[in-house]
Amino acid sequence: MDETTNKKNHNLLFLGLIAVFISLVTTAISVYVYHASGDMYLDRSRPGFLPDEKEIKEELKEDYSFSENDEINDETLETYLTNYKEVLDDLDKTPDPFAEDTLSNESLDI
Amino acid sequence: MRKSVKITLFAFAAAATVFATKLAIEVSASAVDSELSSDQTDTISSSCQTLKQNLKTIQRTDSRARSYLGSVYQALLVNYITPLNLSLVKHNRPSTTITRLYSDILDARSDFADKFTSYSQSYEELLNIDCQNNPGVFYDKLESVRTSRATLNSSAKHLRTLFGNFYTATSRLKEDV
Repeated sequence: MDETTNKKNHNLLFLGLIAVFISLVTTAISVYVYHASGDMYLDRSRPGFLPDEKEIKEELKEDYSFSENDEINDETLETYLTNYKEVLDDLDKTPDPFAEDTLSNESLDI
Repeated sequence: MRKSVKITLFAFAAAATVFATKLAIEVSASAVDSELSSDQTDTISSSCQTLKQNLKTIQRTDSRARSYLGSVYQALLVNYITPLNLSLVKHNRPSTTITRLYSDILDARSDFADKFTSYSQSYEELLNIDCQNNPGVFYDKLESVRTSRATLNSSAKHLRTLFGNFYTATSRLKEDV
């Protein structure tokens, strides 16, 4: 193997190492931002946080949407309120979200 | 020293003593509230793994609740509240109540998201504490997580009230049309 080939191989190795280093740095920054921004806690694709089958079936039906071009009259507002009420009822399926009792000494058996 | 000055100093000292005693009683009472009994310390140490397992289950339930609430809030804002607000402006029928509620809801939703992030970060820190060897540290953190959870709970309730108020305001608008 001549000197030129040796140099080329050396450069290739150096290039590879730089590429690995850059990818490590950018991955570290991404993971930091993912954690610090709080996006991690909204990400349900994390292992152990995947939605179960029942949840997928319970997804909201969004077949109504008011448009900014819709007229404001008795009829449109009646439809609007009926549908709005249905979504509010969906919200009330979780009547006391993040209830304080859940972490009490009694609940945790402390 | 004149008699009046002596009386004033005595009165000041007496008031300071009463105030300091009252403060000390309050501080010691709150310290007792958050203090762990030796039984509780033993329970935390001995059932640390079970405790953490329960906390992880609660964490998953919270994540599910957050996701569900987030999707309902989004649906209400995107499909109802924002377009109605825009439509009122477009049709030259501005309503100060609806505009104010719209702004309050946006603020409250952002506040809820921030509080959930802060709560989750605190919760994650709690799960990383070695409760077997540091039950006291673990319990202190648990108390702090409880406070965050209480704030989050009231934030979600506040949002629900605002969405309810928006419904009432729209009903009144319908009556006026």
